[in-house]
Amino acid sequence: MSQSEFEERHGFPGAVRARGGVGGRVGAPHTVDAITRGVVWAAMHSIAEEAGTALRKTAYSQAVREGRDFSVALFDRDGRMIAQGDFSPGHLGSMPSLVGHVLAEYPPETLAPGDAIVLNDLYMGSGHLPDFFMTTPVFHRDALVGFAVNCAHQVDVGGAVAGSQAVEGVTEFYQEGLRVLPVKLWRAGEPNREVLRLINGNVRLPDIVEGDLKAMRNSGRVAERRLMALFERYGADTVGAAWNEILAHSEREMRAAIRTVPAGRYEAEDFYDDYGRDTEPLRVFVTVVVDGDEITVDFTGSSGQTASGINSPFNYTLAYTWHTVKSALVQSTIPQNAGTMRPIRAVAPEGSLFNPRPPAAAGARAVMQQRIVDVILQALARAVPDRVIAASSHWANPIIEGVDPARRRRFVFYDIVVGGMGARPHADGAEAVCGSFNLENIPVEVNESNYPVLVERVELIADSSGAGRYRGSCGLRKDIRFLGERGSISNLSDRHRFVPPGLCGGLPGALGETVVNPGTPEERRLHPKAIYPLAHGDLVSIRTSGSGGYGDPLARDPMDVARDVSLGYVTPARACEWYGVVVDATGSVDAAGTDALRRARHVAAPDGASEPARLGEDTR
Amino acid sequence: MPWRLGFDIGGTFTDLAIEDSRGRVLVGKQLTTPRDPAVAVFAGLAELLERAGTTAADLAQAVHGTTLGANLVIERKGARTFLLTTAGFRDVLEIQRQLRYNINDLFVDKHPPLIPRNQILEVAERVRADGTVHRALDEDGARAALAAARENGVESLAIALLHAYANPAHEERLAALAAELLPGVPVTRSSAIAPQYREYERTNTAVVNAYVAPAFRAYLAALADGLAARGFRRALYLMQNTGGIASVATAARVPVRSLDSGPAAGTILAAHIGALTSHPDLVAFDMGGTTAKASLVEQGRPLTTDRLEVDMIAMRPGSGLPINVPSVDLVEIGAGGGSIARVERGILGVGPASAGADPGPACYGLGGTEPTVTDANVVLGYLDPAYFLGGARVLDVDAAATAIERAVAKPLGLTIVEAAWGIHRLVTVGMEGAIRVVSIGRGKDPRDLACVTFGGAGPIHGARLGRSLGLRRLIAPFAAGVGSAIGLLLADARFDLARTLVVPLDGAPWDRINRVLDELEAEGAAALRETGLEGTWHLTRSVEVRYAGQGHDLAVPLTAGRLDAASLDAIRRAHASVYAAHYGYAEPIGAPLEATNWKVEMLCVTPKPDLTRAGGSTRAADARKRDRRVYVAEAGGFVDCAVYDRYALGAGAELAGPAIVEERETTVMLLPGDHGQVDRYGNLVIDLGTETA
Repeated sequence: MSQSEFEERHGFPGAVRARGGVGGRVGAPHTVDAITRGVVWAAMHSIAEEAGTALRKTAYSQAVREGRDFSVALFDRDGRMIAQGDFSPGHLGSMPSLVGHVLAEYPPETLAPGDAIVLNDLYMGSGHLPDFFMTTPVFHRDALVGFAVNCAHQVDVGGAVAGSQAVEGVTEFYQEGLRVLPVKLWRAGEPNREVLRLINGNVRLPDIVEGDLKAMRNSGRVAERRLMALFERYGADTVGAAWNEILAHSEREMRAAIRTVPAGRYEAEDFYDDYGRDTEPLRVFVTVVVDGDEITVDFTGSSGQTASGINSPFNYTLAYTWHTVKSALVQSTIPQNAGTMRPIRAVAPEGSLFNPRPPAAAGARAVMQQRIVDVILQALARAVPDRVIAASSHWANPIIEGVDPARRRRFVFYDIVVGGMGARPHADGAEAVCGSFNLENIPVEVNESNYPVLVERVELIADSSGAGRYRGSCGLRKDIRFLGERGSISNLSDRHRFVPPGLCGGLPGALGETVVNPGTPEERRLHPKAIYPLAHGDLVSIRTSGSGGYGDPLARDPMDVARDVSLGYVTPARACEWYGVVVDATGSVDAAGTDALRRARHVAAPDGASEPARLGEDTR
Repeated sequence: MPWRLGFDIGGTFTDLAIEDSRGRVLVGKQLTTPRDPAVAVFAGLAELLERAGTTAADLAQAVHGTTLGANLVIERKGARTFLLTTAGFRDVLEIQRQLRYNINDLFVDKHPPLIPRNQILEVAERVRADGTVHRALDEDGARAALAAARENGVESLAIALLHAYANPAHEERLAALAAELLPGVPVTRSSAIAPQYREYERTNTAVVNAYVAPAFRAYLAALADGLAARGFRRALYLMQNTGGIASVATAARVPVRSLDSGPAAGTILAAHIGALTSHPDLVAFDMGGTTAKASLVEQGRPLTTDRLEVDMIAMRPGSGLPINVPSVDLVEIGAGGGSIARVERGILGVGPASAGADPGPACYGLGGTEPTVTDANVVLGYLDPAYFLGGARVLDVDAAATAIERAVAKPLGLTIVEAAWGIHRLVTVGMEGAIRVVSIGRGKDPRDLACVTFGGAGPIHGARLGRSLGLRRLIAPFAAGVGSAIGLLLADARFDLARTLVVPLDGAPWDRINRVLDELEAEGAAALRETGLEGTWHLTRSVEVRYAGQGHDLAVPLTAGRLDAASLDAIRRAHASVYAAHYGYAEPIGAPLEATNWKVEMLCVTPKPDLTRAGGSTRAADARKRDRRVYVAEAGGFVDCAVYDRYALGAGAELAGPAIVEERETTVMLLPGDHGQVDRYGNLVIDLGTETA
């Protein structure tokens, strides 16, 4: 068939020619074709990614460069979030309202190219003071067309304790460090030295904070340049129309995804260990209400706000609500923007743990994130068990500080110790991957090159994973010997009292713990949220919890249990106790013995497989 | 001038090129024979030699590029490998860097370690970051571990101890014990092949090397034997990931350096074409059946990176296995002729899933029903259904249209042509992103770069891609469809070596630094001598530097000769300028700097074949074939488009877009406003218009 015959048969060339191509409908401002929409979306996503990469590579603080505790989002001129890069979920909740706060202080007519506005107020921002947000207005042919916003966790913003994340001894955010309401840190391209001096005068490591603010400025410029090029290429009408359609489309798709969840009210409960020495556990109670194409996650019934650094300002609660619902229902297939978020609501009574009233402190709120994810997933499990995972391991964020005897100066060693994810409905939990944010761990050889420490062990803990048809991931142990002087450890951890529960008959993972000098007469256990002195030569052993299992352990393939035994993840004793598998240390299975044992167990507990997970068990 | 052979084994095709005694190049293409890749090589060789009227005995040199090593890893078909590591660290391979490469996926998957935990044996010992010994090596324990490995059928051994980059003594002692207790078992030491800090990457590098070594060596030996049996009696060389060639002996010692060497050869071709056409700064753009690759050539030299990532999941960076070996800095995306288009939630997407060669695009008529980029290109008239691979395969236009209609046009409410155009446009946007990464992402403005486009599909997309990035000049080399094989004939011998020594640059221990650089130079020189190649030697030294307190480094050049405190000023200035080029600003000169990795690159530049191409007409009109209808959005839709026979175009021939130039292995598309001219090497040098669709 010739090309012209083909054209005739399919018969479109005239129409296409008349319109000047698929992408060329510039004259019709309020519609845009599917292809252009796809092209604009791809561009928005890559702009956010590129701006994020610039930020991470030029940052000084370990939270940003290794912990990946930063975000980039792009907004239209009305402050609607069009796209957010795949960075820290913790900044999701604050991003949509952020530009609104900036515009309230700086109306459009007061903004000029080259401006950059910062804030770190925890109630406008992401729930604690270390997160600085920077907003860069973007202009096209002298008109304001949008904003690029980025957020980065600063190593220190002053306050009572280095790192500004103390749990104990703080009752108001005024004790937690410098609080900045929206202020222009760059004006028409020039840094505002007065404000910079004010910031530098109130933080412990001004060089690093200033370096990171410059990295943020740089990231903003990258996004600004690329957005300007996008407008130059497609014109404001087309880009604006594409944005509108992306938002509308994202919302429609999110609603469609929610409609696949059976309507109803689904509850779940778990606990934080406490909020400092000699305090009570904190209850996390959620009711997920699925109503047609909308989801409400209601935290009513959870504990009240605390007089400590453990509080989750509403923006943070919202962030992890959005992140969790979205990752369970749609993964990455729908853009992250204001449209996607509209059908998902969070509710928490004012004055509660998940919606504290100012001036409640919240510096340590990061340690709360994993539980928000776990509990919402536990509730969703009652509706869509095949789309969620069991509770993941927690993560520990110990900060060891002291004097480095070789370099003769103070050091702050910020570490992140992360276990793995909860078991999946069809597979074991992913080992050593964080269940609630993204990071790149800090290599031991880098730890030891920078600080007076000797890391003696980093390994997966045997018998720590929650048993199940699919087992949870193992807890992670990191042993750090302190070789500095006049040191201390600010422990920031959890799951030392309440285990990560399993799902659908899966067993919980093992508890985490923090032990100093294990196996010696000086052995002592540390509270997960307190500060302790360290002496030269002390060994700190940080052990994260194991994650929960999924499904009845007696239904696990004996060969998988045998493999776990031969690889040392599970001991023969626990293989027998939890899985009903008779296996020796080499992984050789006694099939007849296993069969008999499993049959006996089923007789003993006929409904064992369908028993709901034990939630929030206090194992003291 | 002696005869030379280059052959590159790809997933679908095995490409060969021979340079004859007058420096002329002949090319050939064979279907790859996956079960025994040598079969296709020898068949292709026989065919080429016959065409050239010569025998294998006349070949003075053969250069091979291969992705065999990467495939052994991806298919998990390597040796039964054991790892000896420092007590307390047996889970380094499983813990990795803990990156969650897809934050929104609750079911995120992670590769299991290349070797299972019970093949990882711990040895009591400890070296500190400064290289001092904290705990002596437990030799009895080491002997016991080696005995256990022997009893459990070890086929290859990796040794990776903490801080071995700073002091390799314990690794060396373990290797000596292994030689004694495990005779015949190949041993890889991390400190010997990747002496840089960050334990996961270094350990993984050693393990991958050990894992692929036995099969890799057996393959090279069989290949050498097969060539010898056909009368070839000279040196066989292997391309490395850097685009430099090494002797087979050196390559066999450190297989990870040649793990993924085929694609690098394409960048070598692009650099050479750039040199011939006076474009020292360019983007190399290679688009094949499954993926597209972009890389940067700066001042005539391919930009390299210190890290190769293999076996990525869904092409997501961070999901694969990182290997500390220098490699051409290629950004690879799942966008090739076989990439599948689909509509999800109202949004069109293309790739990374590929129809591959089997079943292939719908238009191949081999049972494929998913619409691919090639299907779109057929519908749009860019490919002549009767002249695909020179007519070796007739394409089914109706099958292409049907697939596009079902999977893209109907769901989006578009016509088939609109949908095909959408696929073409979207895949172009994806590749634009890849080129951005290697240009803007490396501190280069794409508008200052030319683009050399090759691979079967590259020259179809090159003009639109170039325009959308603001490029001014596009070059489609002659025989671009076998660009990698030609690149193999053009490669120099090259060795890149690096070692970690973390020091502040103010008051740096210059004696130690000079010693490290001297040792690296000596190692590189030995490897160069081993090639036996005649040529001009070049030494380049650099160091990775960051502002004290940062976590990411940038490489800056070092001056020749001994370094001392007086060298610091030049390092500072070089760092500031590289930093500003990347990130838009730099700290004031004098800000404290820290150095991490010290690097040496040794190059032996060898004589190049003459790519001059005689014949063909200086008048394009003489090469004109029958016009056909082609979709040119820039001209408003389908237009009658001139089609030219590449083989009939001689030096000086000029043509204006819209136009299509066809050769057996590829098709070049010129858009309205583009102006092309054939140079004396047969390159089609195109000045791009500026209008975008």
